[in-house]
Amino acid sequence: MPRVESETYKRLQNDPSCIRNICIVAHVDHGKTSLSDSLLASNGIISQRLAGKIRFLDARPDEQLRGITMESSAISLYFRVLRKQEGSDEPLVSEHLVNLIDSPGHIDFSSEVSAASRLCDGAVVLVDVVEGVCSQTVTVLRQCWTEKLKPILVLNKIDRLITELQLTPQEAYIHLSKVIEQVNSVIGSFFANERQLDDLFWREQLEKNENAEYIEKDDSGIYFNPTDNNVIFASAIDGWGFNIGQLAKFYEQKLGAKRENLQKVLWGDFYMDPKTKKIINNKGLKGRSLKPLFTSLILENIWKIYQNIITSRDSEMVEKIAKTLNIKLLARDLRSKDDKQLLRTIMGQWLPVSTAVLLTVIEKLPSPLESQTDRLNTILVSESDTAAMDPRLLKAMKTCDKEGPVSAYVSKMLSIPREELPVESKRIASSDELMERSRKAREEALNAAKHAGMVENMAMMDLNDNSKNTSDLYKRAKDTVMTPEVGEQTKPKPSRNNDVFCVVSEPSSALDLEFEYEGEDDSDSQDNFGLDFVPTDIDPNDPLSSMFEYEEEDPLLESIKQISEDVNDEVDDIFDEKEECLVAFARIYSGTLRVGQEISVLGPKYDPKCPEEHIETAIITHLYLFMGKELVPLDVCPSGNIVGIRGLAGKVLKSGTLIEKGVQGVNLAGVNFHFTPIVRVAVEPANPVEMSKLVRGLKLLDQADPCVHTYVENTGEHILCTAGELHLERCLKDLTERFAGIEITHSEPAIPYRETFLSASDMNPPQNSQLGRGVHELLLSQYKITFRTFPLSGKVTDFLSQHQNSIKNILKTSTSSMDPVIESTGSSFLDKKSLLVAFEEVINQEEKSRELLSGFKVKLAGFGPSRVGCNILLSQDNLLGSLFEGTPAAFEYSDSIKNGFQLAVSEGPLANEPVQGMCVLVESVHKMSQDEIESIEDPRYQQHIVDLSGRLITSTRDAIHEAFLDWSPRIMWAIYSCDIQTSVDVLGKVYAVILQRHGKIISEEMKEGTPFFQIEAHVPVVEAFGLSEDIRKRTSGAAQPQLVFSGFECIDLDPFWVPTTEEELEELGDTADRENIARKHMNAIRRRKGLFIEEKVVENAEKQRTLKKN
Amino acid sequence: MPINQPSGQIKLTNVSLVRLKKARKRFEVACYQNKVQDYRKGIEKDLDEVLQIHQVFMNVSKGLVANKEDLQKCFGTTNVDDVIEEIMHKGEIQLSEKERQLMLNKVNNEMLTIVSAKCINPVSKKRYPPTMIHKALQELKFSPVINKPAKLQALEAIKLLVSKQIIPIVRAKMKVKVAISEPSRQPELIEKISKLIASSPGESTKPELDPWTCTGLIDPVNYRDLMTLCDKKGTVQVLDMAVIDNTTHN
Repeated sequence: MPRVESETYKRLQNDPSCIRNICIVAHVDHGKTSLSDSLLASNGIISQRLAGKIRFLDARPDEQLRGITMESSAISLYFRVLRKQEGSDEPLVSEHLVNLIDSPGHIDFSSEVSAASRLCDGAVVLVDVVEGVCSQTVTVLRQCWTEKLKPILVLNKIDRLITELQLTPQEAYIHLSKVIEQVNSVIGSFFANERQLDDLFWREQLEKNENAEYIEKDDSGIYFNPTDNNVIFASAIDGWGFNIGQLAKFYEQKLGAKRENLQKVLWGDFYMDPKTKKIINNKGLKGRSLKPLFTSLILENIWKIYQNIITSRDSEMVEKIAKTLNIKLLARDLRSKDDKQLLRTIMGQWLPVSTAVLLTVIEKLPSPLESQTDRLNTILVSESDTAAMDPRLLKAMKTCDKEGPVSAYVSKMLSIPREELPVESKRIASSDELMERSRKAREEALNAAKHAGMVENMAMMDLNDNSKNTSDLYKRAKDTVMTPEVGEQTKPKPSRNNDVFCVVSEPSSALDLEFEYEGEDDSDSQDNFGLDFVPTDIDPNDPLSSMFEYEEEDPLLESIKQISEDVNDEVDDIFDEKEECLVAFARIYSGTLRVGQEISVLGPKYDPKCPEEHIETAIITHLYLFMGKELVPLDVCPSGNIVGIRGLAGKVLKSGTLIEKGVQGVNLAGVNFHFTPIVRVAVEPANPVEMSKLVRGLKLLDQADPCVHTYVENTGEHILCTAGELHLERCLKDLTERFAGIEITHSEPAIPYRETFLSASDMNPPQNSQLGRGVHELLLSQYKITFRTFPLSGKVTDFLSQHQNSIKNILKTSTSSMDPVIESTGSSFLDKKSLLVAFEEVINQEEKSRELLSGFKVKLAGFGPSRVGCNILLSQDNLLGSLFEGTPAAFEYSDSIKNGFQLAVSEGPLANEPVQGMCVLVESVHKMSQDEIESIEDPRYQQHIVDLSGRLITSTRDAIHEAFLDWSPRIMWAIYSCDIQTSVDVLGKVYAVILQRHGKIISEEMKEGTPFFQIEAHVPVVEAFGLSEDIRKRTSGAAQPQLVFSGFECIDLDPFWVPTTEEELEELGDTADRENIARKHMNAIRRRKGLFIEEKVVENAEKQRTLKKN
Repeated sequence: MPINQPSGQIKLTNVSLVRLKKARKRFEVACYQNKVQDYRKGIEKDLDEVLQIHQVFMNVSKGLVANKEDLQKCFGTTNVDDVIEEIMHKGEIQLSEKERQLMLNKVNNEMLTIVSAKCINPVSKKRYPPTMIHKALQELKFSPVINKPAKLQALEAIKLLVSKQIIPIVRAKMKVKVAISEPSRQPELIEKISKLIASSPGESTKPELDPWTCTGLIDPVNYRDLMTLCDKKGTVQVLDMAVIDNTTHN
């Protein structure tokens, strides 16, 4: 039976030499999941017939619908190789356990690839032969390079060369060799970089030490070469694949040549001389146009099969081919109208892709035993770490010792709904449930695939077809996607055993290396299978056991289904109460993990130098074996394996290290992910009552996804940062469906602005020409208060904003009761004296500031807003007292003026945003005589005021605002500093995007030793929404921006400016609202806040729609 | 004899009337829709964009033009420009759909901004974004009206939100510093003030000192009481209008 008992897995787990941890990586849509499907089919997890279509590892419905993978998922596979021993008939059996991780290809989910690659020893790199090397292919190759993963190359979708591009075998051969060359050139560039660095390092060494020797590294082993058997030619969708070694074996008999020789000549410019029947190289060609062996022996045969099946159906020919290849074909298969299916049957038997891949994996990729020795230096971050480590642990890690101290690395936390977790193993009834669950999982996947196909189909269909009933649609959908009817309960196919068991290949006995599925040993198995398989003897914990029941039309099953649906309903109810479990996705480097074991958890910030910090202990509650969407409980798990651990929730946030308790550990988590989250949105529950659910959901999401960042903004918005738009969509879906379970709306986050003013040459004349610019007289009751404002220079403002915490601290200590709650943020504070000295230095640097701020020590009455900001309040003659000298205020209502100042700067006159860079000087307070009061003509003046101190606050604010507007006001917008690494060819496009979004290029540098440019730019936050998507689109993924908030920048335009001169009027019209960005932003903020906007409701009165009724 | 032919008739469509009753006579001006409000605010400066026809009517729909004697009697002038100006600014107007919508939006946004600035989530000590407040108010079926100032409505909304608690919300406290001179003479005053001021950690009250000072949080509702209590006897300094946790946990 192809079904593998979990006992087998457990047995194999104990032997690291037969474990392979691999991940499948590639550009998006190059067929990673289809390939893994084929591998799953070889283990009987899914039917051979469905492989490549069901995309079993895409467990999420949205993954199925979109047809892309979003989360990496792992599965363990069993594989057995039979080796013929010299002189004995009994083949040597070697069994292997392959832990396979399927990773997403889309750029948004690069973090998942990083996490997966950390856990593996080898990588299967897929390349679509039609598309060739794409941007993500380069990224994953680089990832392999830096992580020192050993790669093997799979050239996928060769069928497209035949059916779509319609190349001849010879053309295809040239094409394939070109693709391999492309890949090798990428690897070569990595090698060249490293060599350059080495060279640099060597030269440095040379300067210090004459004797340093340059060690030239050999690059011969790193390239892909089909003759080395590390390249597989495949078509995952049609289920075939091979490497040269396999075919060398195949042709050994046919041609009677030695296998070792064939191996060398099957790829490359080697030809068969038709007369001498000898193999010759280019020299022996002598001008004849012969086809290379690869073309004539391999490709032409494959082409022939395709031609006879797909292009023109020729049953006789097919039968002939089948006969020569020793493939059993059933009459039914030949009669079947489904060409693809026939093709799959033939090709799948001749050259099964799973065999090719798994064989290559086992032969070419290292076991944990070998790789840990090699990779340990990469895994351990720095030398000092190694030194601090317990030598026992180090040794155990190097040798992958399962007896040694435990060390494991958690690369991410998976959040799994409790309903999907296997129930406690004690329960006997669980066998049925598990069976049911696995059947359901499969059905779900299938249905989703069908659904996706249907959607596609619907789109293609004529819109008039609406009248057709759904079942009709359904059939059509099935035709297009060719989904076999296994998903349908009502129609069990009588011949279903064919698709799985026709794999028996007769010629296998002739080959000395052969693959067999477990089930083939038992000749009766075909009869057993699918008829009346009794699940009584099944290990209750093995979900695979249910594999063969799923097509049964069993009333009992139906009732079980009914029950389980009820159970599901219940589960749903529980789910409403947030039943979501965190399972750690971990690789064990040494030692053995046991359920119930107590281990230390080292956080990502853990440093061996201070072993007390960032360390916690946790107890492992469950261990799981990953089987795609399903988890199989384990009791123990030895080193070298990938395992799911429960019990770490709250202890491990995103990634972490597990070390045996009491052993001096080392931080394995020093992996730096390539991407930081850059897309920010504000999320809110649709129903405000469910706020707490959202908060909890965000916390869970933050833990479960290494590339998500969440926090609460000052405005109270919950901000969610993700790596890209697609990633965002997934996160929102996760939030609504799993983590929070509520409706969620998202919007652009509110963007902060600042207001300031400056002295410009084209300002309007000052309001009051006698007093001068920026001066305002406030007449209130019997007082006449004169305010003078002037702009602070950028340096002063910067100084103030840098030292906010220091000022806060000084304020706290000097007036002890001022601000009782200040948390120490850990940064060093300047004391009062040094702050003043430093401040004076800054002021004295500029002539203008020195003049304006002379004697500030005495005059200074406060900062603002919230008493620490970048605005200064001064007073002449101690009117408001002095902040630093501590002298009392001379004016009795000084508090009101101070409060008025605070108000004025926290809500500026332009758009109620905080002001920065303003200095207000209270020049004089004059108590007016009766005569003076009578001579005042201002109609707004009021003499008798009830609550003067209160009134003075608002009046001061207004007066300061008036004075503010006397200068040339400016809006400041928040700026991201944006780093982009890009290749030369898309440099222009990056520039275009940046400039279109009002960005500025700050610098542009060629990176030494690479063909890349490093661009630094400033982009306003407002315009940055969708920037990353835009850049990626325009550069087809070759450039990726990183955004960091970097303060505020002035929009160099007066928001109130209107054209005045004739030329300006002619050019811009009399309002120029299109041109004035500053006003556009000011109005947008004002509209958001409900402030007054100077905008007409209707521009042209006469152009309104005429209504009969008034 | 008036010429009553189609070519001599002026038909007004899309009329918005501005009426003014003066000396028991009704005067009307025919304006375009959605424009009067702008003219009053001074956004629209061109009177021709606002007026349909440069005349003062007794009744626009009947086409009755006001005669000069009436104008002289009621406005003291026969200058049509002056009269129109007065009617435009003092007369009652009909709000048209767009204007109403705009004003409602404005009042609503302003109110939400005020509520958001004045209230916090007692658990996280953070503000709520206006959109959240909006949703909560919709849930409570609270809708703003245009003829009340936004600030008043905001206070009503806060009251409603706090009483219903569909989201955990409280009004943010104000932080004040009170200083009373000669405290020994006014023990009962100090006691009253102390009652108003909720004690906060690290707060320092030193009764023996002169002047007596106290820093603490108060409910903004009590601010006026505090002011009247301290009137003439001491000073009240507002340190923070709303105490909100402004630390961003990045």
